[in-house]
Amino acid sequence: MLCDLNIGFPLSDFNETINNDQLIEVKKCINTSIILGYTHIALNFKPSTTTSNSNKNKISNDLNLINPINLEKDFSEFSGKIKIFTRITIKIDDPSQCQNFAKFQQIFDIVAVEPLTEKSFQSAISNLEIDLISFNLQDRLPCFMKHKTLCSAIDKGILFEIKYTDFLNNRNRAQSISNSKQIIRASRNRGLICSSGCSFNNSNLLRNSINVIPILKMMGIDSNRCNLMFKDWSLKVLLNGRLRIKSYKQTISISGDNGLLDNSLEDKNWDSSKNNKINNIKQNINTYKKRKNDINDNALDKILKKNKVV
Amino acid sequence: MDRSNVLEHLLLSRCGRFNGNGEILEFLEQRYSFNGPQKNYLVLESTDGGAIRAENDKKIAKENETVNDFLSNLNSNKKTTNKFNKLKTKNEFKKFIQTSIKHQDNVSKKLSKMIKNNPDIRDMEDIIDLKICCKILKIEDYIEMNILWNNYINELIKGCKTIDTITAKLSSAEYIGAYFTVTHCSCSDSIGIEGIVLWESQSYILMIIARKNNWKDNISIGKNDNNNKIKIKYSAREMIGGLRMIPKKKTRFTFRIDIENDENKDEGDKEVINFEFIGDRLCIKSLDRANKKFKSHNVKDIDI
Repeated sequence: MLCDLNIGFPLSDFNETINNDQLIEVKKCINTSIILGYTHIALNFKPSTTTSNSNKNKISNDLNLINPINLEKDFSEFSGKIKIFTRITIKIDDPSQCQNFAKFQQIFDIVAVEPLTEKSFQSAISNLEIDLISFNLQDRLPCFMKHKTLCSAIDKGILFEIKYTDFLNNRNRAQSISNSKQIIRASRNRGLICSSGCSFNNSNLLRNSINVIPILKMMGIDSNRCNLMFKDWSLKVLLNGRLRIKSYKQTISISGDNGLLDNSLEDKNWDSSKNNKINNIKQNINTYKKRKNDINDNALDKILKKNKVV
Repeated sequence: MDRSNVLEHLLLSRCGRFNGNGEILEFLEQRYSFNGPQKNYLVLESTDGGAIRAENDKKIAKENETVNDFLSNLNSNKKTTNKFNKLKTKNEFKKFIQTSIKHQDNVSKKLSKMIKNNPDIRDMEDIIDLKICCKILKIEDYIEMNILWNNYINELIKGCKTIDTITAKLSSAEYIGAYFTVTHCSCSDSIGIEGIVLWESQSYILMIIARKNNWKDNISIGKNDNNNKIKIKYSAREMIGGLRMIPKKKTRFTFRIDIENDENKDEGDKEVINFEFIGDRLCIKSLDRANKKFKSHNVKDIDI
């Protein structure tokens, strides 16, 4: 199971809708990643606003209008080939303005943050319920990475992201390499995930994990952990996010067809939800209902039937 | 008349014992003489104590009672704190589990020997007809529990429309009587076991499983092809079924809720939702779980 949790989604605002040209580009990206052997991908919606300035008035109160990624309508042709999830990355610079996060947690599969200041980085680790912290590696990091802060985040289950497209660009390559070495050093080689981070119109930057691993090895990660970065640890991020939606505090979860990650039964069509009374369409229970005739009888049913015949 | 003893004279004149004045005077003359029959001292006899005595008695009795109670409590406490008292329900239940599991092991050993000698036993309709198996716990006795649980859970989740509310309610629900299936387990032998939950302890779930009835029935090569069905032989342990102890750690169970609607009365049209019970996060006694506030943790211990 190969994961790529960062395929860029071309929109940068909550109110925009995707047009056809952009959609084709995104589909190209997804097709390439299918060919490269990825099984789980996440479309990354990256609003350009930060928390401090004017983000509040742009988020609507209706939960069904926040998510611009309509998996049912736009990406239904990929079902069966690849599992597509949604992700949001929010830039935070003012830690006091993060009350809106509870909304995103119910709507996107993965919630990631990009802290721009040291304060916001600290508060993201200690206060927010998120899955992932990513940095813009081409700029300077907001602060010096300490063992203590990063490891406490990893113990909590918040992982860190390294984007390999930063190394393929010509721009600021040295900066991004030194930044990622910092993160690797401070996290003591664990709790990292590697994703493409490709923006929507250059799908040629996508690589298979085998091609990326030498670069990571160069930065001092052993090959087993390189594999884990693409496989297990990425799945853990996905699982963390999925369990937040599917279960109550990771105790009892509703069961899909294939394990805890699966979203095949979920109601993904955000458009049809407007006339629905349920606040958040992702939480709709009706799509999980099955008819009793369609599933195999278990032992109890057989005994009950036998008793009836007798 | 002597003026000295006026009061006495008057009092004695009221008395019926003396018939005349002279008798009284005579009596009074003897009153303070040294040799006379009357002595000038007061004679006090012992009394029964009156009201005060009764009150005192009551107090003492009360004190004695409290002391006695305390003493008897001390004695009885000693008895209840005895962990190994046979009369304790916990110990009785423990013994019941131990004996029935031990009995199952013995019977399965005997049965596998019998099958070696006489392979026809494998094709028997119901293994419980054998004489050695008669004491093994039967799932048929516990079906009533499952029906009760179904009604209870339906009442609990009535009116819930979102995953949030349903799972929150289920996390503090009772699972004794539910029909669980083990989907993930660190012990590969117990994967696929399904049965009615008999008891839920802090770290174990006790289930009663059916005889000759598990995933080995449902294997087919093609899709819905009845002819191509593979038949895997049941082991002796699976043939007799009975009680199973399954740890919660690193185990995930699924259970099915049949939703009862008034509209769909047909059996086949009933709607069904599957839920998953993540054992790692529910390692608490079911009593404490009702009031527990759950928190999300790192998911590194949950396998996908």
